[in-house]
Amino acid sequence: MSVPVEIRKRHSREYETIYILESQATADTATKIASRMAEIVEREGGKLLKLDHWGKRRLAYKVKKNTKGYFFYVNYLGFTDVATEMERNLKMFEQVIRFQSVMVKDDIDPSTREVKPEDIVFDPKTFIEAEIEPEPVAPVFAAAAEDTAGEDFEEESEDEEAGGPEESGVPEGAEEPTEPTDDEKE
Amino acid sequence: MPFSRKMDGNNKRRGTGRRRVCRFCADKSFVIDYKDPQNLRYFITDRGKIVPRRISGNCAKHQREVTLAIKRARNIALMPFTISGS
Repeated sequence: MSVPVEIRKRHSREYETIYILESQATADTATKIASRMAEIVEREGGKLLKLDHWGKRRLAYKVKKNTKGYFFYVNYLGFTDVATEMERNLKMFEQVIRFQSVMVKDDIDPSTREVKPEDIVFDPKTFIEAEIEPEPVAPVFAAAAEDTAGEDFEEESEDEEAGGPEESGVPEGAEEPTEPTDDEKE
Repeated sequence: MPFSRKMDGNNKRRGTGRRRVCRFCADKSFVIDYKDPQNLRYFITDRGKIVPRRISGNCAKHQREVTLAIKRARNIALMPFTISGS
């Protein structure tokens, strides 16, 4: 069943794609990939909302022997096939070590979203070697986790350790021991 | 002899965490975003595991959102899958 093009273009979805370049990537490669992303969005009839560069950050784990990478963030409107096309193209670049697309919202009218011209242009001067180190955050629940007498929390689902290092032999799903009762009643 | 429920030890067992209010329900300005690992770090243990709801005090809906955000952040290497102890 063919849908008239005018009706089809009225509403689209908002996606965001994050991709990571390896630590040896150059500004030329970054520019090339960024312009390719913009080109794909235009070609598929979408609208590029934002193209951002988060800088060189430390990765939480090694990805293809890289401990640091350049993070890029693309926010765009498009139809159902645009995200697939973006990911297909990102796979072809060797310097891209990770990517992920997420749908943010459905049913958006492109004319309601305004775009600032400086948001969708990648400036190679921002591609600097200086690394951004996140501030360390002390875990809040470490004490609570220790209080339960070394028991392992039962995980309901997971673990999608698709890229992460394996856990060193810790028994999973240990049974909860009954806790000592609090003598509240006098 | 009447059966006394008070003798049952399991009924007296209290939860380990405090009975907290879900911080996302209480304060609408808190936003769960997988792109912000600094805020999500409050919901993982020191070994990198996701904290259960009975400890964190989240409501069911927000716990699901937090879990999804942490898993997305893990995929894109913003958060670790596991942290090896020192």
